[in-house]
Amino acid sequence: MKLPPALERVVASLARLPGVGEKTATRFAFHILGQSDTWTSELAHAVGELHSAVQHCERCHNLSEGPLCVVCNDSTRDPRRVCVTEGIQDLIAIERAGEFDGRYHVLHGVLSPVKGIGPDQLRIDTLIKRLEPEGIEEVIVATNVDVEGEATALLLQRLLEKRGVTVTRIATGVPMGGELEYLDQVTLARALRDRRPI
Amino acid sequence: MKLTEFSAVDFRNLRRLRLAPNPQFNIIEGRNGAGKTNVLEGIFLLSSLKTFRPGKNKDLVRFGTQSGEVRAVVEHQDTTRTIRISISPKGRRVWIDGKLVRSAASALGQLTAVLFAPEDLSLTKGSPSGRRRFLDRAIFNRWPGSLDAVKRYESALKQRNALLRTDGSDALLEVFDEQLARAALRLSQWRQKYIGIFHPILEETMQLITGGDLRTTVMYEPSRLADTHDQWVDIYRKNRRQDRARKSTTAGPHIDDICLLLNDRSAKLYASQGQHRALVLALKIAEIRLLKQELGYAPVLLLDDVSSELDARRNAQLTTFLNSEAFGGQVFITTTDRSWLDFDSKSTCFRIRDGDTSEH
Repeated sequence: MKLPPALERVVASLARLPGVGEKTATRFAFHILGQSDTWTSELAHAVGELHSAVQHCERCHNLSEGPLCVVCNDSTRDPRRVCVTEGIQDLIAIERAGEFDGRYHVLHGVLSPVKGIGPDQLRIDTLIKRLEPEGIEEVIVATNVDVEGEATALLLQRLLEKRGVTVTRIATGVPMGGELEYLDQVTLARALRDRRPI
Repeated sequence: MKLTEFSAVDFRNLRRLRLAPNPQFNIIEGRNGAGKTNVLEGIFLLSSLKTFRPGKNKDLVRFGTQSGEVRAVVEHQDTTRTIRISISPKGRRVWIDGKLVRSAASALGQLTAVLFAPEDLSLTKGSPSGRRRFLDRAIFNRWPGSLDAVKRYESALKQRNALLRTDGSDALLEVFDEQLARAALRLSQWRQKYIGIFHPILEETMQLITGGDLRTTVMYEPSRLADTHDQWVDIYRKNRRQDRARKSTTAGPHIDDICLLLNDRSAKLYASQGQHRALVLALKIAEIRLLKQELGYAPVLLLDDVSSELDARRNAQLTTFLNSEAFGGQVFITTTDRSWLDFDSKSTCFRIRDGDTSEH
């Protein structure tokens, strides 16, 4: 049976979400159809104002509701230390850990010549422009430890160190509370390679 | 290490298959195209998360279905583990004892399996890429952690080659050269380390197989010799101009080879047909013996219709080895004709017909 066009449009839109196929989208659409008017207009309204209400922070490119994000607006954060992440989700993860009290800089990607992503496609120039006005002393690179993340970290180190900034890399290895016996061999080998003096 | 159960649902042409394998010999019989090799491929997939025949996820599931799975219960040193891999258009997921495994790395090493397939018979006279694959796979079985070096090298190489094709800047090449050099050093060290242990075992195995009339040597033949990170960085930097012109990376572990000598002469150039077959058999048996020596247990052996390619004498030698105390592991053998197989009472035969099975 052919679905009514209005329902069909919802299915087609939902099916574009990651991990959602035609079947799941149809199930979602029927679920939404079965809900109250209040809820569906709330959903529609929330989705509708997403783009106008949520922007990127003009300093660090984190999500924000104004020109600056909550972290950049927080005067208790240490402006001398900046943590560089690949995406916003990484920033959220670090923020959740609660350990870091500096500011952030989101690159929105990592170097990948295969995908045609070079330094110009990343927010590296805006990071360099922040160094002097904010008095940044240390940049902590928290990109992933895959080849692309490591290459990006190295490029940042080369670009930033010659401007008098200390560049550090987050540590990798044995997770807290992890029992060595159950650790996978790749992680264990890496932890041994990157060992440090006590 | 033994499989006590194997099942497949909508995997390749296997609709719904369940085997209770014999701890020693499992003969998988059936006509061409019945799905015998798919059983071996399922076990191989559980061991390495890779397939040994080309295919995307949609080719791995039965025609007309969206998803499939393979599952095995593995008994090893008094512990029993269930490994399950599901395949869907979105990807492959691994479960161990019912728990979804987040990183593929922690799923590796649960099941050690060695495959011996007809393609291996061209190992000694074929291209270096076949020998590199043999070597890396053998290293992986011994040290599953080595896979990280292989993957990183492949990934860095792809990125560097993309830069070379698009005339990327020197500054960018430098940061990727650095990644390539790190992985190259590790990969070449794994290879050297493995060959060091492998050489005496291969030599002895070849003596046994040929009755002692051939002296066998195996040597690692790296495309470039370098023992330090800085030396590798230097190699890639020096080759940069040439690599830019060729638009690809011209030196490194991806061009390595292993050189096999029989009485000091290149096997690739001078060995007879019979000597090639003996050498291939020796390579595979030595790979298994090394695992047994180093890990303390025999891997699961997957023999994909090799009997038809080996002559009667080599078949007999293989059977003798598999029956001997020196091996003592579990074997899965596919064949269209089991007349050559002489495994007395220690075997179970499964007949595969159109993706289904019967035991007899």
